[in-house]
Amino acid sequence: MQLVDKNGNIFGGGIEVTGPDGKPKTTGGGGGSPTGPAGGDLYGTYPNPGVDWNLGISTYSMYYYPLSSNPAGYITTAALSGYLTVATAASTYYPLTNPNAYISGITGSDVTTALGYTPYDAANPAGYIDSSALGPYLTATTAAATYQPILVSSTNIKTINGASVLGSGDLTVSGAAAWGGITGTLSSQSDLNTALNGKQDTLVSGSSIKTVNGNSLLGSGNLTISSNPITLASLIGSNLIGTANQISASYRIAGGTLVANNSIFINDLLTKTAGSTTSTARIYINTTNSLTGATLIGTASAMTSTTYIQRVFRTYYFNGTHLFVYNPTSQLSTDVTAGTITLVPFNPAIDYFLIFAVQNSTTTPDNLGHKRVIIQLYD
Amino acid sequence: MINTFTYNEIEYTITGPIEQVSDTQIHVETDKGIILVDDTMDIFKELVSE
Repeated sequence: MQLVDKNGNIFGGGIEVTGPDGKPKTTGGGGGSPTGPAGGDLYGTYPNPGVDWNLGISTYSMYYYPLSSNPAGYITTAALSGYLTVATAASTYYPLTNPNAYISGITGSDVTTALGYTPYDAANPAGYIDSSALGPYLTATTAAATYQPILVSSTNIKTINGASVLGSGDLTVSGAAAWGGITGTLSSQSDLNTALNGKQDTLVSGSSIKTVNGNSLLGSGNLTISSNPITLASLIGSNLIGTANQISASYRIAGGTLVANNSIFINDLLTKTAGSTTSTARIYINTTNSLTGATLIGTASAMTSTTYIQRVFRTYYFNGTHLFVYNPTSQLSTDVTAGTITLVPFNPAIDYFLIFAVQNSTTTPDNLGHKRVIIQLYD
Repeated sequence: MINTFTYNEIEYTITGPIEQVSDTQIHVETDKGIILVDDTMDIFKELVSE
């Protein structure tokens, strides 16, 4: 018998014919040939057709798998238990094509509203810092390498004779300091030279610092100085010729100098060196150093003939708003006598000028002058 | 008759006689004392002409 496998290979040989009796019949084979008329029953002894059944079975085992094993690992239906059928998936999930038109176009504002706060983004609305903000700060390592650690007595700063040098005040150390020598040219030590140049020389009373009424200002303690009167000025006026009323001397009383109940005392020495006609000295006040618009506050005795010297005294009391002036037109050397009073407005906040004027009755040679004027303030 | 004059924004009321001091200067008695008025002041000529 012949067998053909799936690849078309033919196995076995001859044709097996089975007769009505169930015996195989053949037209030929590996043995002898049957005899007898064709179409009739075969009879006699027939040669063995020579079919090798074992050969066929052995060849089949190379191409077909037995049902009892699955050496290639073909799956069974049990392996599908972890999978969804298409129908189940369709009833369970929305396709990615969003057929139900779920919402889109959500804006950042929508998200913020939904969240209830503004999420961090590049605009950094909450002002969160990043590493660039650390620029002004020091790391502990840098700080340690840059700054002096806090001093702890006897730990990182020595004591002196057992005493801490920390804190304020003075630490008295006995024993002379051992100074080293300064080498090189002093002027080349620029910082030291600059420091020395900026120092005040040692003060010497009466030489580099004045005395006060003969008292040295050096040393400790208080120097009591009488404040009453205070000499505001000691003037040397000019001796002038001419018939005009002219300024011989003047002094500015700074605003704020006078306060209520102060008084000004004037000690005025008049001199004249030539002439025999009348010369007159007057005192004015004005807000400018000019006679124009000035207010007369005193007139000395007329100096005639050879009257060449006169001492004039005047006292002006200030009540806070006015000067109390002895009759300004009375030609007197002194106000130490009874007389009429004139109140002259005086604003203590502004500057005033005391003006000492002279006038001669002839052009020359008369030359009256306020030779020496001492102005004192009494409080 | 001039009774008042103003100088440096201060008004003066004349209260007494006028005294000739020099050709260019006079003393004028006012409510604020005796004021020296000279020929640089506008009031000078008016006071002298009286």
